[in-house]
Amino acid sequence: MVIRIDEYSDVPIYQQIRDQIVMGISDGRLRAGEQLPTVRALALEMGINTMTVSKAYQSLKAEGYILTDRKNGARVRMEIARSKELSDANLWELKRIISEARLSGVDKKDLIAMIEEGYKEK
Amino acid sequence: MGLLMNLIMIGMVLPVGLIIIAVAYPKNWKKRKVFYGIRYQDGYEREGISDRIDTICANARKKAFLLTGVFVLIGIVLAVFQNIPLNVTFSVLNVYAYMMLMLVPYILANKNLKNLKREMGLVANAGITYTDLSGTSTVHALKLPALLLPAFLVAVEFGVALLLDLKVFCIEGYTVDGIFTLTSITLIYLLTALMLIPIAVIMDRQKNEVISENSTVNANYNRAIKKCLAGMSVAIAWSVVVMTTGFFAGMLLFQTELFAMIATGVFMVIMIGAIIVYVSRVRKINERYKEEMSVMVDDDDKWIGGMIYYNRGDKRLTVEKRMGIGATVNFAHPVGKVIGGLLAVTLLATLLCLVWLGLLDATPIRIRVEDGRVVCHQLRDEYKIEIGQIQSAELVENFDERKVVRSVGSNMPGLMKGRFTIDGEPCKLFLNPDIDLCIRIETGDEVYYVSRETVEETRALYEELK
Repeated sequence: MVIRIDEYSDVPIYQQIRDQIVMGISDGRLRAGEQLPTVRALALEMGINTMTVSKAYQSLKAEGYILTDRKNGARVRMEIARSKELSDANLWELKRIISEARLSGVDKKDLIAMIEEGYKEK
Repeated sequence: MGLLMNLIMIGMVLPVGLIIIAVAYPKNWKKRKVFYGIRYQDGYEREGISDRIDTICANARKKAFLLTGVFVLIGIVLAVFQNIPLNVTFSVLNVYAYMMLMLVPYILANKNLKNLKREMGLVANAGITYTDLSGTSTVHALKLPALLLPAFLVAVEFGVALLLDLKVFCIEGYTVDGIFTLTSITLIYLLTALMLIPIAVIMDRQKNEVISENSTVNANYNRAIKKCLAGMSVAIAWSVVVMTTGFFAGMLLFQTELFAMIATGVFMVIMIGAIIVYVSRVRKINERYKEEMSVMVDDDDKWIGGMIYYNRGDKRLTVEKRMGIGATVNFAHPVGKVIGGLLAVTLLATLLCLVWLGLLDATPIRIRVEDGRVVCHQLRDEYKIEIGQIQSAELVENFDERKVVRSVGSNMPGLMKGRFTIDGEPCKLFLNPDIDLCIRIETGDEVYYVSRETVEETRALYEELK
């Protein structure tokens, strides 16, 4: 799986890493149980601080997407807890997207089609 | 500088120039991933655009060939007309100027291509980096033992040379010269072999390039490129073994430093051959993977002149070179700034050395007798020989028949100055070897060979000393 980092983006780098790994797990590019690179290796490859990668991994671990241990490093969880609901932050984000889509004149049907397309991508 | 030396210099620099043309001045830019520091994009093959790029590239290539022709011509003139004043300085300056000027058409082509990109409305997306999670730090091709073995062999040869020069044991036919020539030159070769190891490791460990969304493609592409790099490093390491062995055997059999030059020549030929093979293989790999290159970062604007990478938005220290082989540093990185400073100092020091060489070449040696002393003077060097301490002074003719080996000092056409050994005898020289006549002065603790600029002046000095 390829991660794209934009150094000039307003989104912090650790957040970009976290978001893309979540997207990767969701669309199947990262399989259950798949080994992730070590914090040090990924930081070296990206040319960023190890603390940044560590923060992204900690966030993913806290959210239940990955497991980390000293012996095996980080890997994608075999079973990801399905709460069947969106977090408050994601609900807020969804509302923001809907608002902007409405203001941009995007039709409701088209937006739903886009969501369906996103679900199909797996 | 002799005719042979000048021709050797041209022979060594010319292939380097031709490699620069082959690597940096492509005939067919459409086959390259990067040309003139600009990353290839599909839009360049549009009608109208393609023709303009063709013209820019053809002009640059033509200028590079023209510069090469001028360099060879000047080199030949300097080789044939040895009596041109400052011949040595001009010869070195010719090489230096050629290497610097060869960059000019490249920089101009890069500037023109960037202007064309602006006209086309292509916006750079610098600051974006791609990393393949599955390929992280796992693609390496260098097997360290393949580099350590040649370095070990050179180390063994150095050890034997040292023991020979220390007279721990001796080989029939080899006479120790007392100034550790065999040891010092094999030590230089050993340092070359050792220096290759970290360079090869750094090249092998450099960041893997992401060319596709497909991790398998990325892994295969990087493995292929790194395999070529590793192969080139190993070939160069073995050429150091060939060079050391050739020199070693030459010194043992014929007792002449000429073999150092021949061995270095063989090393250069093998090294250039290895680079040519590497360049052609990398070109083939890039052609093979061109169709699969779906990920592209347009950071052309961050490449000053298409060759110096300065990107504050990129936290990496090393990136793949746009001109040449291997990796270069990001000069916006704190460590890159330090490296840049060191490079600037090195460049300045080289220029100062060139000026010093010119001064040495241009300043005549002066020997005068005053206040009961023979004073030899040139630039900052001054030898003072007390006449009262002179035990003998004799004229030496046919100086060129003597076996002269430099220990420390200058050995140039028209000037020999410093510590030397003549026929195995340690001495100090201050003479013009072109006139083939000098005075051997022996004092209680030192032997001097001195001469003035001409035969007449040297004879006059001898009469004065008598």
